[in-house]
Amino acid sequence: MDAFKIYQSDFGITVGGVNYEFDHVLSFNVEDPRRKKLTRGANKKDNVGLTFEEGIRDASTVTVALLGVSPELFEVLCTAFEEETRCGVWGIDRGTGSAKMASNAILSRKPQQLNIDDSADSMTVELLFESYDVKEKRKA
Amino acid sequence: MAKILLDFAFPISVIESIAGASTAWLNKVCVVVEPKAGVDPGFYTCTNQAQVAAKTDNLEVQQLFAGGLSSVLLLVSNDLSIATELATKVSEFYTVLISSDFTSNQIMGVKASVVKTHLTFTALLEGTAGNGITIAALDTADAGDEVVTVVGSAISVAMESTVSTTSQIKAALEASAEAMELLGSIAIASGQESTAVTAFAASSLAGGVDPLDVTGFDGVVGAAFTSKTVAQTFATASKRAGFYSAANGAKNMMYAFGKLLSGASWNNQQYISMPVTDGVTALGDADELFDNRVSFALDDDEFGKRLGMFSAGGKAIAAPYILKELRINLASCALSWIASNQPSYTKRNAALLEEALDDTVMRPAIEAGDIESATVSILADQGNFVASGSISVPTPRALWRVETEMQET
Repeated sequence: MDAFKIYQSDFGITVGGVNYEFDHVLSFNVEDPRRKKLTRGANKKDNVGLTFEEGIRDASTVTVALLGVSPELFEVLCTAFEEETRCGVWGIDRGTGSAKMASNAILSRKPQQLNIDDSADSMTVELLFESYDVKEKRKA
Repeated sequence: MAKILLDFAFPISVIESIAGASTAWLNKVCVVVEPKAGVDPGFYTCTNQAQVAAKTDNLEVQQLFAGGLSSVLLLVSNDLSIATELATKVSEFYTVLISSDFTSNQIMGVKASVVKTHLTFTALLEGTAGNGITIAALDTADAGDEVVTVVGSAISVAMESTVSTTSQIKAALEASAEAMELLGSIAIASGQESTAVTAFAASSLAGGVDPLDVTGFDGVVGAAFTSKTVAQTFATASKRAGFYSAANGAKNMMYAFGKLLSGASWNNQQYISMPVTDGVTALGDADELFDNRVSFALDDDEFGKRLGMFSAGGKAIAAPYILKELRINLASCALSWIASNQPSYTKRNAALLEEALDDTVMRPAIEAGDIESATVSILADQGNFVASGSISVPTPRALWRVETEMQET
């Protein structure tokens, strides 16, 4: 089964039609709150049940952990956060062309380096996006 | 002394983006009319009826202005062989309307034919070329051994005069592939299948009329007819809008297209009020025209004259315009993206281009309700310079009628 391999993938955002690529990516996580669920009456008469969906009103979240951010990109991200600019977030496998894309996303948390200490992980800047339009395209 | 310090200290090279392609020409129309005396054939742009009246006596064009258009391109012509003229105006309009100055025969063409001894010989194709076909029956063979010879467009049947029957001659011709490349059909008058034929000299087929020639034009063509059958035949071809009108020519057709092309978005114009009657007053007639996808206006005692159907090639009238606009926008978006991003040939850039096309063109079209869905796929699977793409879009449809059943309880 083909899967996304982080070591052969590119990640970035698109703001105002311009693509900005992330240099050092630790992880790219997508959380989809939608759940299809089954329910039935308490009289337990039916073993098929009724379907319903939860989490429709909640947006999917895309979390991208970066190791350091260039000043230019940092400026772009901060401006996008303040102005609630819609952007696209993407992760593309160079080997297959498969992609995970979030369109019309907003930055949910202000981009910043939260910790400063002597560990390498302290250079982490976590970008949190929210979007209702997250899709995954698989290619051979 | 020149001002050079700025360019010397801070040279800036600019990558200009390419502006999106214009789709305004999709709302333009060209109307083919016959000239007034002294008017040269050609294209004339008219912004009011007075300018139209200076070029042609046709009174139908004013319905385009009544429908909302502010300018019309007239093609003044004595015939409908207009492919060459249309080729000089590529991407200046997407609709060609044929006025009632031209007859149904001029639009559909007529096959040349000739009748000899209960046999009707008809050319294969419409047009004046059929008038050059000749048919002769020569008394140079035995009955039952008829031989067909074709030299150029001259067909001769060697037969036995006053013995060979109409059926035998027809069978001999139909067995000749060369003859049937020229003749579309050989018909025998009813009850004359066994009638003997007297030899006859070469006779020319006649009456052939060239059909409308818009070769190379890929837009919508509209024409009005007084015959429901002919309108239906015309309307079956792709992007052809065939209107039926008993006595008012192309007026309603012009008005309907005027409303369509002057609209802010591509609407199918269901049941809009129409200026004149097309003589459709019976439900059965309306049903028949609707089922045959012929465009028409119906007369209602309460609601007046209303457009009852508006289609092209059996599809919603808005469909060809929406799809053409989509193609232009996709190409324009791709051009702009490639010019702005100067991409290398990688799967990553193929994915980004795909997303740009989805985001910029397809999603807005779906949200506007023009199309139901779309899938775009770009693959960087060739060696260099050229990527492969596939786009899937369902044909836009229009809702005109609702068939319901009410059960009384």
